[in-house]
Amino acid sequence: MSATPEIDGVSIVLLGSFNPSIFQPWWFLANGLASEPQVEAAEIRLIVPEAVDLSMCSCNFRITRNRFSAETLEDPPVVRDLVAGVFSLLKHTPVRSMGLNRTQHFRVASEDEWHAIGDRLAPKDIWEAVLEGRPGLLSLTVQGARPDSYDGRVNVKIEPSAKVQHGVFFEYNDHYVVSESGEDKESASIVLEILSESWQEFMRRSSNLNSALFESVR
Amino acid sequence: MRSETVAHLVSNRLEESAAADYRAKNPSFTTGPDDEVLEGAEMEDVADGSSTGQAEPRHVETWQSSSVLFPTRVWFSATSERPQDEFVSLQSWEGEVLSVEDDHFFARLVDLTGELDDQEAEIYRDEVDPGDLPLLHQGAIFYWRIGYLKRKGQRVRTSAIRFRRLPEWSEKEIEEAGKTAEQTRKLLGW
Repeated sequence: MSATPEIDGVSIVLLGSFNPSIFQPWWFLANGLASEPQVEAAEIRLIVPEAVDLSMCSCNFRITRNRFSAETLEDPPVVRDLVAGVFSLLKHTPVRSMGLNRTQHFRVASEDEWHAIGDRLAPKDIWEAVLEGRPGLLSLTVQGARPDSYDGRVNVKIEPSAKVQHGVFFEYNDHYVVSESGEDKESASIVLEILSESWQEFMRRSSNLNSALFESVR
Repeated sequence: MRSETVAHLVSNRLEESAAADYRAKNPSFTTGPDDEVLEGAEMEDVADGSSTGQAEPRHVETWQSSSVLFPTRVWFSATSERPQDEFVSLQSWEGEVLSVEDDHFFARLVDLTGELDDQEAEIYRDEVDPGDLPLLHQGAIFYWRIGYLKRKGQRVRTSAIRFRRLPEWSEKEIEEAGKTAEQTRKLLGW
């Protein structure tokens, strides 16, 4: 399998209480988070009081009253800076939890190797005994403890890629519990602290984890 | 509407319901990149997939025993399709501007993949997006990526420099930071 992903994306997801309609391109411009050409090039798909869905600065933003999501396939540091910029302006936003997510699609050298990876992750003999036909692995999610002092957990999902033929889809979710109640006035500050201090570690950990995992299932 | 399409939609509704139940019982997954239905909005307007993840109209082969020659096809819940350019990164750096000249600037580049040593480079202003030129000054941080953009089956080589943008400090924040520093200074007896 190629060590370099065909598609490599990063997203930041926050759960809490948000006001979607303020997240408009002009707001990013007015606050110095985007340039005029970037705002002019923004693609707005939806802006209603309950939800915003737009693309700007090579990032996709999808915001509802209880979920904020920013993702990119191109510039991981840019999406981090944009989210940090947003919540340094909206520092009293109540945030309950945050996910730093890495999604990657790897191409596998051959169909045989691709099936072999699935067999290692979920041996088929036990399934062939209880299911009709030819059972196949569709999705596998494994949860682990956080490797640092933050509350939360790490979730890893592996699936057959839907975008790369005979490819492997890998999703790494670094889940942080920011504030159990969501009423902590400093919760946005914790978000900024995590983005500032743990981002590089998140990127490194997600890369190392999939390398080690795929090496072991080969 | 063809019966196959109706059946597909019914199937999708069932899958969405099951997925919602699953997420409710498994809050640990809720900060993942999976698609969400936006409250109060029509599905047609907003329910397209995450461009970084898997969610898009598709059927996918499942991993089966290596001996299986004809894998089954499994339908995922369909969502409206949004054409997405896909970017394949070849190299990316984080840069710090060391000095600025008339038509170029010097910068220290740190390889974000961690595979190459730091290096210094001379970069022409023309490489910088006009909207980012006001940010070009000594000490400014930027990101430089080189790669391919896949668009409608074509691969286009791209090079893009983006300068880091963070909100400026307000006068009130600067004033408050000054007060905090003064209190700390007094506390330490300096």
